[in-house]
Amino acid sequence: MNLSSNEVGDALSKGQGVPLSDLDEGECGVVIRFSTASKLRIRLREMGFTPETMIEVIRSAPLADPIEYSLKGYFISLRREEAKEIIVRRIDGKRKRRRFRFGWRGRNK
Amino acid sequence: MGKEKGEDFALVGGAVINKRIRVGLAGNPNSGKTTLFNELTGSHQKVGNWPGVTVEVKTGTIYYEDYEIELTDLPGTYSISTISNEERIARDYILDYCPDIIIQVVEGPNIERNLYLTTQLIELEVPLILALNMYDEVKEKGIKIRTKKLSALLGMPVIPTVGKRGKGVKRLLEAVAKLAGHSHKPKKPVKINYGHEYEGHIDELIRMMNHPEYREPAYPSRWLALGLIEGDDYISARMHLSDEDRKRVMDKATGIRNHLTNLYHIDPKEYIADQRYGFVSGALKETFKHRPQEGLSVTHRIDDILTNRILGLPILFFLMWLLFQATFGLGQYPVGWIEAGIGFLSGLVSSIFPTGPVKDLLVDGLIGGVGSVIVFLPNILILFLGISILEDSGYMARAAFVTDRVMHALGLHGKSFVPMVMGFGCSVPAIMATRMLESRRDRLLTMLIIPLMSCSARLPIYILFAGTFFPNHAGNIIFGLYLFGIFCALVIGRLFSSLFFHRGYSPFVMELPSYRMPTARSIVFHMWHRVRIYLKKMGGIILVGSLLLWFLGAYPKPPDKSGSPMISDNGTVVESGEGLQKSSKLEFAFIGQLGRLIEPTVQPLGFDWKMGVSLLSGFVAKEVVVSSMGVLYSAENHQSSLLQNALVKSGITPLVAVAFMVFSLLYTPCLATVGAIFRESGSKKWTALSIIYQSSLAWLAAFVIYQGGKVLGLG
Ligand SMILES: Nc1nc2c(ncn2[C@@H]2O[C@H](COP(=O)(O)OP(=O)(O)OP(=O)(O)O)[C@@H](O)[C@H]2O)c(=O)[nH]1
Ligand SMILES: [Mg+2]
Repeated sequence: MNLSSNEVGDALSKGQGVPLSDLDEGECGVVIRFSTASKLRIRLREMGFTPETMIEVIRSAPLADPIEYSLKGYFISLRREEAKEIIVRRIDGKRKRRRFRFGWRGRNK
Repeated sequence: MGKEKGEDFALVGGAVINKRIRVGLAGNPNSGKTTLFNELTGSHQKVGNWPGVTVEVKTGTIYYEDYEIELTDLPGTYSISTISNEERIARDYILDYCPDIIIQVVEGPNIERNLYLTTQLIELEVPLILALNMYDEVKEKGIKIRTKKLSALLGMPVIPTVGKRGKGVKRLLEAVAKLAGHSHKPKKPVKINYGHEYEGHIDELIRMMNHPEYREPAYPSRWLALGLIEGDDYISARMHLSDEDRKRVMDKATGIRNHLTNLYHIDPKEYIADQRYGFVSGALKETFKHRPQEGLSVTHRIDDILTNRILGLPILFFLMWLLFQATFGLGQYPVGWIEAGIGFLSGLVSSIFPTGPVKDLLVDGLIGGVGSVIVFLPNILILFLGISILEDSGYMARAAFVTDRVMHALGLHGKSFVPMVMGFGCSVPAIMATRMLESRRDRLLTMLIIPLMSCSARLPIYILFAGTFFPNHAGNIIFGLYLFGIFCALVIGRLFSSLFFHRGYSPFVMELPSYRMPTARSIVFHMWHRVRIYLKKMGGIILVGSLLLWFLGAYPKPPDKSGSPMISDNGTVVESGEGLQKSSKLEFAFIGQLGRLIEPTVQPLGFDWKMGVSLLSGFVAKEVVVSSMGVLYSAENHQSSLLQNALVKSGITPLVAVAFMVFSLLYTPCLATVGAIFRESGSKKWTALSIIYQSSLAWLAAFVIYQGGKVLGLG
């Protein structure tokens, strides 16, 4: 269940690992690890951000921060700053959904 | 734990054995603990659809079979080992109070994360019951949970409940009774396996702690050992060891921690959390089936609009506007009827009682004072109705989500927004609610600005003055005052945060619950609760205050020149001469003397001494401002006519009215609020700051408005 640091390094060097905050709305990622800078890594771990957990980006708040995520069947919001410390592997095949929107598409990078 | 306590049965009445057991309701935030608590005990504790509603321990008693069950509702907690303020309260109850049984309330659709806490409770070896709550939503979402199997895997009764409708409550009690009866029967405990390496070290620590020379530990040694390996700071105080031995064990644990960290390249705490989740997903593999939903959930769709990039903030603004407009607009009709009723009553009393002090006391003191405030009951009810819909629907968490960015930029926290909205109702529970904020800095800041949110007690002042002086724009004027309060709160928040606090690290981790339809029942209870509080205030502090004020206004009597102190009160227009006479009488009385004393401080704001006295009396409770005016102005005119007319006649201009409303909005929080700030901050310094800064701010703002307005020729 746990990836060793080598594997994490591999994943990152292969360009698979990205900060969670880099994902667009509607995209999914799988948790690889937390960056050591994260002060929240224990708390988030206990709330279900364990390795191999699938996380979906639901939406960001009106002023682009915080961001709402979904995991393990519930919804949680994190600030961008905190989401940056969670390294995920982007899942291909973005879920295509027709969404009711007035706004523009996410512009995070 | 728990096991040793199983014996405290009491012999009641010699023959009947009344078994007393202590049961705690624990669980993740917003899982429905308080809802079940209310169902079980018949109480009406506050329920709301956002995490962190309950912030203190509440206890109730139930009699079931021959058990006397002391049931305790706890604040929500995600884990035993992490710490926000209210989570610490729950943890301390579980660890130090040693309940005989814990009912863990689990949010059914969200069972995976909820079971994390279960794994910790299993390790604590407390007798456990799992209340699989929100079972209605489980079914609605097409989730299948095999409860029997789950119960076997977790080693505890699993009981589906629907707290909202009281379903499953009976079975919960049966389970409690059954478990209490079997508390000595050894059961094969469920064990979470942490892998060979970890288990070896756990055993090593257990052996050290279970040394025959040591006292028997009060907690399961496996739990202590795990806690030590996790590095939880609250463990060491809970090991019953001498200082020397404790140090040995702690040093050993530190060694193990370092060893394990180097071996697995991961903090043992994270490793252990992962294993616990591994256990949970193992247990759910065969018992939990989730049919993938077609399309988006209702909550998702609602949020696409309510937290939309562009519409999110305007909608929040609109909802607030709607709330205050409704409070004033819809409230007007019933207010009219109550006013008419009070007018009738006052006429009746006038005609029944002979002229004299008794009649004056009743008409001027009682009806003038209490009556002038009680008319606003409908407005206040509508306001609370609106707030409770916001709370019960789940919008509060969204409001925090939508505003976090702005609040953060101002040095506050998105979650501060929730207590701030509650502050529109009453500052006291709002200040209590700041416990949901993790950092002390955020808590203090929020506490300091909450009184700037116009609470319902200030509403009567606004309605009275805005309705009297701006009859066509009252709703908007009141909304403007609310906005001005929020504006001041944000500015002050920004100022204080840079003046007194370092910018600390306070993350925004907030669960966004599903939207839920507020039930009529919970709203009715909420309303009824408010009505009771309001009426109690009327019968208590406001009644006493009004009578006291009437007395201070009636005595001592001026030396009698005209021969008779009685003045006709047939309800006709009072001659100016007569009014003057009456007014000078008031000035001669105690109240007038006091008024002269404070007049110089309020004169620059355009207030007369009676307004000053009313504001002063409002320190007790802000409704008293209006009741005092009721007494003072009706005493002056000695008429049963409405306070409104009296105010207009007394020469208050619209400009003064605005200055007065702004002053009432900003000045010193009421006594109860000051008490709450003191209790929650635990500091005289911050409490004093709160009083001083608000009074100065109020005075300054009113001064600028009045003098500025005069310069602009508005006065
Ligand atoms: N659909 C449904 N909703 C429920 C049920 N039980 C409770 N609720 C709702 O869930 C929300 C949370 O209920 P609370 O009782 O306040 O939850 P709590 O666990 O006490 O929450 P905190 O005090 O914040 O930890 C409220 O909106 C309830 O009306 C249930 O069985 N079904
Ligand atoms: Mg609660």
